[in-house]
Amino acid sequence: MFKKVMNTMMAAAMVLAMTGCSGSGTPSNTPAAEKIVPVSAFEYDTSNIKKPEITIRNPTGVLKDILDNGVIIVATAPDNPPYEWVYEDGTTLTGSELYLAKYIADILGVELQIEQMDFNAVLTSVDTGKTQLAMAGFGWKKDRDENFQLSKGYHSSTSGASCHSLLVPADKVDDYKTFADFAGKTVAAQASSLHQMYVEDQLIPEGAEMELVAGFDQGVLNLTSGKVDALATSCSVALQYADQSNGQIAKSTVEFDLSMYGAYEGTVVAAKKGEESLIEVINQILEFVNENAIYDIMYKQALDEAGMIDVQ
Amino acid sequence: MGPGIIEVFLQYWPLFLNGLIGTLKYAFIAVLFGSMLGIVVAIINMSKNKIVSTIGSIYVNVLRGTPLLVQMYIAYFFIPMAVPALSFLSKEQCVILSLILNSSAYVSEIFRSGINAVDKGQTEAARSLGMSASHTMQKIILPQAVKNILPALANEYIAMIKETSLAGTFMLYELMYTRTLLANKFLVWQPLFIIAGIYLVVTMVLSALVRAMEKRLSVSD
Amino acid sequence: MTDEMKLIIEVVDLQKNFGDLKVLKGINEKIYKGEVVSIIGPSGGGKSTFLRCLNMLEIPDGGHVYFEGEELDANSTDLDQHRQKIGMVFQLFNVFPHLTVLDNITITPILEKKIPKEQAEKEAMELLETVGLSDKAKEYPRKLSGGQKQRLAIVRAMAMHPDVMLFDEPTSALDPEMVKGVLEVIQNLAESGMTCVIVTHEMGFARKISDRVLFIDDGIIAESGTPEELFDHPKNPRTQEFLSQVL
Repeated sequence: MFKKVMNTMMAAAMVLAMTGCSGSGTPSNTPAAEKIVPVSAFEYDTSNIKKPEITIRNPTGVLKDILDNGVIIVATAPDNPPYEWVYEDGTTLTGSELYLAKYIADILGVELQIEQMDFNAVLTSVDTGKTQLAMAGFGWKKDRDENFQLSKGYHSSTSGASCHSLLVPADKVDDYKTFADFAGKTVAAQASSLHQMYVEDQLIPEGAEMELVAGFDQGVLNLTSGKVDALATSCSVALQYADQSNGQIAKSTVEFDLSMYGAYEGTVVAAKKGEESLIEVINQILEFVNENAIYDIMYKQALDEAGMIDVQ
Repeated sequence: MGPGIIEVFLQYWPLFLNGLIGTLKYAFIAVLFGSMLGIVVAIINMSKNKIVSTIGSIYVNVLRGTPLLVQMYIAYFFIPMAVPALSFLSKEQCVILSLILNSSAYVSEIFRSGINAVDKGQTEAARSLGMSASHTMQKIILPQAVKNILPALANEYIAMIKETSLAGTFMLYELMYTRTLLANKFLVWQPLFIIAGIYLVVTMVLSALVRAMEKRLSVSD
Repeated sequence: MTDEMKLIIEVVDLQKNFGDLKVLKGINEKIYKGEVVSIIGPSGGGKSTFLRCLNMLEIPDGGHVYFEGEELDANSTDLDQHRQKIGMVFQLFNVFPHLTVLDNITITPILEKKIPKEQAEKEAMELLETVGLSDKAKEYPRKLSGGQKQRLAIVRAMAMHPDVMLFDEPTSALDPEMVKGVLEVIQNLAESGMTCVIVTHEMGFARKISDRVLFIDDGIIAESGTPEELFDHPKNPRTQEFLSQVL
């Protein structure tokens, strides 16, 4: 009880201290510096990007709807730069995954329509048929695969995009060198995210405890207020927040081992269970993307537009 | 960590302004149409016909007894499915529709209690003069009920301002949504305080106006 | 004066319950045109309930109420018409606070009898004169004292030209100094020939102006008679007991 009170007071004091903190140190994405207005996903120009020749055999289910109506409806949660996010004007939807969505739409010869909602609603929306394809930074997970039609994973050829790590207090970076160092520690991860899976698979067996948060920003607050010891996230996001924190938090040197996930490495897209026709075509496209490092193009542009630091 | 609250506010004030406008707009639409619907629901609830009034009270109890967020999710996902005639509604409109329905339930109770709060003796006097039931309601009861209803309606608007914050979950551009926009700029905690501050200022100002209105209305007592 | 007295109100075996409580246990009575009938009795005895049955503000559970030969029926569409001819004055005045004094009086004639506004206002002003309130015509009731409000209530009822006036303890809620003013108005009304039924605790007043007095106790008319008979020579022991307590 006393500990709780002390923690709350510390958090409050920390917050109050930050209130006065006015631009002490200039984060590298100070908007005052240069304002890049990102390209809207709908206006992303794929005409100079190589495209595969795909064969569409006997389209059924939503694929048939997509081709008949000339529109593909993609669900996403635009709160995850650089992959999918909405610019400060409140209307420009952009991000590397959304650029990929446009690419897919152009290959299929249809228009792109994007429905934005919170992360937890994205999968439900393909299930209820409100949308046709879910793209929100999903990783392959067994339970997800059982309930939805998941595609193969796409990834960037640079390890930057598929590097996942943790944020820890800056003064504790040296305490964590291996997974075993997290024994007895509390690690936060966004619920239903890839990182929840990584923590479950790689840190909990070592004796760590996991705390789920609904939104990633909640996780950041938990970390800075000392309620958790670490926060699992992608390397690029970790670097971004570390930079923003004026030396308070830092990216850990520990990175998750992705080799155990084999062919499912990378980000998958999801459709309603049974929509094999659509996912089969998506897989053709994604195979081409992986072989030709297509996603790198989108990732790099999105990273710049989000004002984020590249991991490499 | 990062820029302070004031800095963020000064830099991004247009976002917050747009968000606030969205909030005030959605709340107004919800209460305006909710009131129109609410009057109908109130009349249904006051009906002497048991079946009719039971339907009315189920409507009110469901909408007041379940969380607004749940109602929004249901409206968002299932209205187009369950009522094909309404599938033309955009996601934004579905969410606003759920706000309107929710408001109508609360407003109908405001009307009912406002009308019931008028002294019974007024009805007795009017009816014993030989005034018809409808004239009594129109000319004697309703004008007096307005005094009770208006402040309560205004308070409903203020409450709705806070409730529209849930619409941000569905990416409608109101005040809470600015949190998502700024999270995309990796500003995680500053917006929370700014948003809370704006809600506080707005609700305090409006509450003061409501108190002034109540004072003016009660002058005739 | 004709030989035959016109029967205005007839009550046959009137019964009223509130839940399990039998408040009126079978009342029979006739009230004739021009009569001034006072009703006295202990609280809870049923006097107000009886009065309120006469214009169906309370709906009887048994028996019949006849007004000018026609039975009053709470479900009938004629009830409003009948009520226009029965004026009622309440203990708590029940004036309309959101209407001016003048509008309080004219609203019902204009709405229900379709009397043109000008004419209604002219008559209303004349009525206000008779009770000394003509200078308050444009005021709102909140500016009036209790006694003034009750006088307003009386002329408001009179504006409909009723055939009978019912008074439900008209002075019980007034400060003592205002009681006299209101009683004077009622007295003038009675002396002008209006049929009046008055529930009251003002024994002296009842004695002065009534043609008959009814003593209602425990749901029945325990005794009735002229004021002299009832006040000076009560026959029923209950009447005697009641009078000994209040006089």
